[in-house]
Amino acid sequence: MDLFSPLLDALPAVLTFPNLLAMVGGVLVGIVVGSLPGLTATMSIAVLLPLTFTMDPLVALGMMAGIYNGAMYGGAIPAILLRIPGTPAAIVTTFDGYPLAQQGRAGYALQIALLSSAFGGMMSAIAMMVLAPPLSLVTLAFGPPEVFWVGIFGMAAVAVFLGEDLPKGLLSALIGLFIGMIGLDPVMSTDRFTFGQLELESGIDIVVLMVGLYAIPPCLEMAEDTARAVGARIRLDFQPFLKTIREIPRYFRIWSWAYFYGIFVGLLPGASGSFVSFLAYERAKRMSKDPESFGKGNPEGIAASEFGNNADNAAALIPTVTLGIPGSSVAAVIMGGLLVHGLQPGPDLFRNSADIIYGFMIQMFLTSLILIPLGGSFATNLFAQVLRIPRPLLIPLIICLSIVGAYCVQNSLFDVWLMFGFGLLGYVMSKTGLPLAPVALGVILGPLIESNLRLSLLLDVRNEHILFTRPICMVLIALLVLTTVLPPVWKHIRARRARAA
Amino acid sequence: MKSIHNDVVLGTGVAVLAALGIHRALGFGADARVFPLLVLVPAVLLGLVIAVRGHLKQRRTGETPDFFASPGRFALVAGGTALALIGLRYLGFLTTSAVTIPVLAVALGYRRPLPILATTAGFLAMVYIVFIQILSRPLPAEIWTRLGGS
Amino acid sequence: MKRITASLAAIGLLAGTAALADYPEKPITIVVPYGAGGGSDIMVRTVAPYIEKYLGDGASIVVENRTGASGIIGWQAVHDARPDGYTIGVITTPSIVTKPIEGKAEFTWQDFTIIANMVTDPAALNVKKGSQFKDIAGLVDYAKENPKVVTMATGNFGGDDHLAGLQLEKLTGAEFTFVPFPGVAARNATMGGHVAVGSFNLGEAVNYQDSIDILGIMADKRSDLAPEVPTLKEQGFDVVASSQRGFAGPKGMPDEAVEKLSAAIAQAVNDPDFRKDAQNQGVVLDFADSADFTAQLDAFDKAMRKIWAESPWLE
Repeated sequence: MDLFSPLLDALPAVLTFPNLLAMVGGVLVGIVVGSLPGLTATMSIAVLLPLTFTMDPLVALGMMAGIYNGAMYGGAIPAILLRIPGTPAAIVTTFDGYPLAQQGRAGYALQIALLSSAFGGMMSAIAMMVLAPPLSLVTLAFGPPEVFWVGIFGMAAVAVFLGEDLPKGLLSALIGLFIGMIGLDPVMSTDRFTFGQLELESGIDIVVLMVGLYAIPPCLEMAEDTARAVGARIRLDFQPFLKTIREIPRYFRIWSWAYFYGIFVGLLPGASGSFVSFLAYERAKRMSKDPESFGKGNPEGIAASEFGNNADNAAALIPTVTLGIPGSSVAAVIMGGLLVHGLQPGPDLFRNSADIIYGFMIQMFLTSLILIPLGGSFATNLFAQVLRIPRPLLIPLIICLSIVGAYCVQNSLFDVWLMFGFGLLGYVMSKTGLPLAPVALGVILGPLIESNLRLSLLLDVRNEHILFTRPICMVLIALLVLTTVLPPVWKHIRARRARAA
Repeated sequence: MKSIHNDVVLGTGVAVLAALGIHRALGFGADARVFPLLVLVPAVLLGLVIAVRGHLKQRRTGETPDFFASPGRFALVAGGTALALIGLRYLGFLTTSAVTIPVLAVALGYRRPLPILATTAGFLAMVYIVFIQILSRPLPAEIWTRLGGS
Repeated sequence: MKRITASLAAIGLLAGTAALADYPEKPITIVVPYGAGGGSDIMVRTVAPYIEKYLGDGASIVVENRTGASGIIGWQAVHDARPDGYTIGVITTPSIVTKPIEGKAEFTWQDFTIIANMVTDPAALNVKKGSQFKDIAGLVDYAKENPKVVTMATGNFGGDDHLAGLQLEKLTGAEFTFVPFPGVAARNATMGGHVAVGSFNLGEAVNYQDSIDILGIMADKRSDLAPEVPTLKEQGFDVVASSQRGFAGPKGMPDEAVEKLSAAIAQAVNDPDFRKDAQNQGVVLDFADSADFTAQLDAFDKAMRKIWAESPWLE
């Protein structure tokens, strides 16, 4: 198969002026939207979609690619500066990004996030160019039993996020699982813990939860911290960009794991990119010689998280363009955009509209590349100025931003109160030493695990125990044992031997 | 003066809430209740563990860590936010922000009018441009438009 | 029915709404009760510019998503809005009819001013290409001989896909195991061979015939979208089920507004450019004016209430 000729054929159309303009515009809109909690790439593309009806399809797709990739990086900006994840996928970025910013290295943290996002996006686009049709088979092969085990895999990663106090860490995870359960039960559609509130029926939106849990507690704590409340500015520490670029090789190992997870999870419909970051972060921490530094401002944590959530981007589009099955909610809107222009996903898309689909893949690559200059110069410098705002002024600003963000998710005042409630919950948790990260993981994975488990049990009509007997399930179980159960056992045995000797 | 360790309050609270949750979950259908019970039963146990552990620790060391660093300022920000949320419904988002930001900043001890006005104006402009103009998000209606119209 | 609507409209007029000769004088808000980017949302955003065009006089439409509780939150907002013709919403069947029957909503569809229907997407039964099932009779016979062994992917329980499957069970005595998948996951599960058969609408199936076979659609007659696909009726199974998407406003909307909107929607549906967009998206256009749509809803409501009384589809 000649791989490069369709790409080369598509290239000239991508490099025309209106097209480049659409990509640059898209990336800028994406960064802004991503950096504002409550505004998502999905929402922006859906709202801007009608504007693209009259455009050339490739120009429209370029804009969408830009918004998609831009937003994934944009989410890291408030995550680092204010500990507010701009998008759910940026939750993990807060773990080390915010401590780094507090240490006066916000500029450096932003640069690492930017480079990781950009390279993650580019590598993801390459996977899409090279392997889209074969990779789409993964999507079809993973039914509920297989996805259930992937969810368990993710839950096993929670160990890394529990913190020093085990009972409290576990309690946090349970709180997350509980919050994820609120709403209609995934199979029988019975109300669970909705207390008769219609607004709770479709569950709690992760954005509302995250904004409340992450943004409000620091406001309350900053306000309480009288000594530092007035004045006290934070240094930004922008080291020359080239110097940061030269540090890239240090992150290769982490990036390759994040890449694997990003592509794999991207291919699974229903599993969102937010969970890739957790897996990549866990792997990075396990591999590190200095795991203690994670969560205290280790840039490797940011690299894992941001590379992971951008590596998910183009991968989530693979089943979208080959099978018409969107791998994420953004992919679903982009599919809407393809359909409006008469581009029907499936093998025919590659045969009949090769120029457009390969052009789109190139755009996914280029928009990630453009992120570096656009994000690096303009956006990052501009946004980092937020830290120059004095704290007593920053507190009400964050509160107002959280309000508008929570409101915009579903245009609901109820959600704003819910967000505030989660803010108070987060405050109590922070004061009593309950870690926040397991909550997020529980909320993301709980519904995934429960619904796929119950669907699997329904599917098992011949009592074949499909959860354990399907080949891919068996492979996943073996991997689970190898990576999570064996290492601690092994460590224990070695420690014993060492003591005996 | 003898007081109670934070963990005792936390653990007991969690155990009681989780127990109430179990009571409710028992009313769900056969399949729908399994997962809630799998989460809530361990939550009761963990709550008790944390409470007992906190109590023992306090008996041993006699320490009771403070919950609030500054109750007054906490109440100021939390109360201010609650007021802003109430205001949101009646005044609209932009108006509420235009009031909340300067008032809260001043209340927290920041007294320089120029930066306050500039930041507030910048925030409002950002929200207006991004949320309302570009993405046409329907924010809660401003009180002015309601008074003016109809 | 029509007279009631008319008299209610008259009351609305008396209640102080100004004369509407120049309707619309300000932007019209269309409430979409589902999230941005979903099927209903994209459909409305696609048709909105055409409706604006045919309303004329620089009319403008604002799309507002009010999501939650399977549409009830958005519909409640429409229900509570002022009936001046400037707030209308998208209504979809079966939910607008079944949710009140389930007791989840405080309104029924009769509490709205029905404007027009735009889309009727028939339910369809689909299998992976190369499946052992070649037609509905084969499927039903197998499911009769092996009760509960045939897995059928559907959307949420109580949705149109599930109701369609239940109707088939009722008619034939066959027994399926229903497996509720969210969103397009039902098609994914069918294409991946994780279920024996998938119940999802023709619009979701028609463009994927490379990897799935459509055994039949549950409509009175074949669809223009896929004329080669037989109906279940032709195959001897009298089951009709579909999902409709139309427009409605709060009760008591002025007649002029309803007529103008209905006319604009009718013209939009006949616009060749829009028809092309719709075809691309797998949208099955089927315009029905207020009276016809009301009659359809009424018939559907009666049928559903009968089923609910005999054997509720939810616990």
